[in-house]
Amino acid sequence: MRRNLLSVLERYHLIMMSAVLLFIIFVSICVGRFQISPVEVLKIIASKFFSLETGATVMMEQVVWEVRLPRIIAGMIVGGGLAISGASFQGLFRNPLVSPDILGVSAGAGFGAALALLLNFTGITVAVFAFGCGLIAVSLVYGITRLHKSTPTLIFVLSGIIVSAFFTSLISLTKYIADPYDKLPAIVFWLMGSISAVTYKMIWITMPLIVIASAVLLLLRWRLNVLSLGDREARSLGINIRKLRLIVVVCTTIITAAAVCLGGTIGWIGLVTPHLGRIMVGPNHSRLLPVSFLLGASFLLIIDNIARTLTATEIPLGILTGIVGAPFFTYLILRHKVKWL
Amino acid sequence: MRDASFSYPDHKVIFDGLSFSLEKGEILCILGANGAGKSTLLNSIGGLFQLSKGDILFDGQSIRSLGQLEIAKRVGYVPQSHLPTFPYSVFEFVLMGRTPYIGTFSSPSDHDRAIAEEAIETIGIAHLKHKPYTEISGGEMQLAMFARVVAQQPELLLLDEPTSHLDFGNQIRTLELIGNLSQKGFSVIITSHFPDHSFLLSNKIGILKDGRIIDIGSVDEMITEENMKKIYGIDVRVAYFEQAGRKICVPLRQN
Repeated sequence: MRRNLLSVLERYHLIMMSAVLLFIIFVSICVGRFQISPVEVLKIIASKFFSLETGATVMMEQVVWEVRLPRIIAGMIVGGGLAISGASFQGLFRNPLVSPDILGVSAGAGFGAALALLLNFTGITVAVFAFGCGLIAVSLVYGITRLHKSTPTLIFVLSGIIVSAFFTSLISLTKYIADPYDKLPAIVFWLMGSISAVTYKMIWITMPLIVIASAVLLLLRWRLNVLSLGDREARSLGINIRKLRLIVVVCTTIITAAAVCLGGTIGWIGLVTPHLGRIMVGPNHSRLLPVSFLLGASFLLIIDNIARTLTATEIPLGILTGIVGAPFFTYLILRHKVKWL
Repeated sequence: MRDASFSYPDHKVIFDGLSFSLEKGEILCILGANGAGKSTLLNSIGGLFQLSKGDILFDGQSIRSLGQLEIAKRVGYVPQSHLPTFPYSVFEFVLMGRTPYIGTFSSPSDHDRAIAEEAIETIGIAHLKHKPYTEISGGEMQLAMFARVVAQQPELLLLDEPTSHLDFGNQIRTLELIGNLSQKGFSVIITSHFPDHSFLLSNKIGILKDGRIIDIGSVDEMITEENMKKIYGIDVRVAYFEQAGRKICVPLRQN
């Protein structure tokens, strides 16, 4: 019975999971402190396309279009982007415990944002600082690996850990010297992750980056399969691993840095959702990458819905993903006897 | 292979001034003690290590003029063992052999799938096709790797100690399979730790010692008591064994 269910899942997985995501999007529009019934939401959406008397107040329309929708779009591209990066990195590094920030992009971006906040910048400037420092961190990692003669993949992971540790210390330093009444809370909140203050402007800047880089990773789906066999075998199958590795690293870095700009440092999604994807459709990246994207998007939307409804004040996403993610991951490992760990 | 040399950047010379040639459908078995440079030699022929001197020619074309992709279409490499990470099905694993023919941004075509199916039939592992290759035995993994290299359709197969991780029965079955593949037109270079296996393959033998092929020739010429003493430093007897209908090579008690 379960076998059958799994094989159906495997065949129609994209359609089914897109449907699930659509449903979650719809629920996310309805959910929130400001009550709007599902029927009214449907009417408000329909009125965009047909001339229709909705009876909805201006307030309702504003909540749907200006507050909830940008937040939902941000949640989707952040969650989906982190998940597809995680899946690609796990394949590239042949290690299922790798997450997209393994090469230091999150630590770098976190430091960039903290520094910008410390220097009294706000809004887009903070995002630019975060993005820039994320790229610098990964470039440093890449530079370190170039010093090594044969650059086996493991050197990347090691250099990533080194650079991450360095930038994490710098983050602590900025926190230490930040004004504890004003700037320190801002830095801490930023680092814990949230998509509550997302604007359309931010979305229009980051979405193309995430979409294009994700598309490139999707196109490389078969090469990622071969890369996950190991460096030497990939080369014996005619793959230029240096070049391919660089492309994958650049794409995941752009996605992760853009995601961090939008939502702060949100952990777990890039690590956990690829595993869930593998359980559902197997390890072949042709199926795993799109499924991971859909799963990551769905997961973050659900988490964000919890974040804004559970308590009177919003709970930062970075906290919730861990609290929900850890037991969920434990369940997956025990329930399905995950074989690649 | 012409006057080829390889040394590591720290100037440790692994082999030097090697020359030999191989015809289509021929099997060359390279014998040598641990650390004699057998694996390094195979990796160099596969273009995975770059020669420091000399050249390797495929139908007259220098390996230095061929890219990794071009080499992959001519030379298939089967490592000693493969450590799987993700549970690809055996079919997906074999299909990866088609990679040199698939564009960077593409996925395997129906044609590639058909060739992978055929390779799986050739090796005789159709029953394993849908199994995750993390759950098959070491012998079956070896067969899956053979199927992958057959799907790759190279002219030359490089097999790095293909029998070293297998049980007694699978060792012999693997040798038979290698014989069959050479009859299908693949040239084969294998490294081995078992001189006796050469009698089952009736191939060319190259003896590698201290980075030199000290001799190359037919099994009967090469697998001799003197040569074995030279390579391994032990006393062996090579004799015709009537019940098996072939020559055998067995070690003696050394003291």
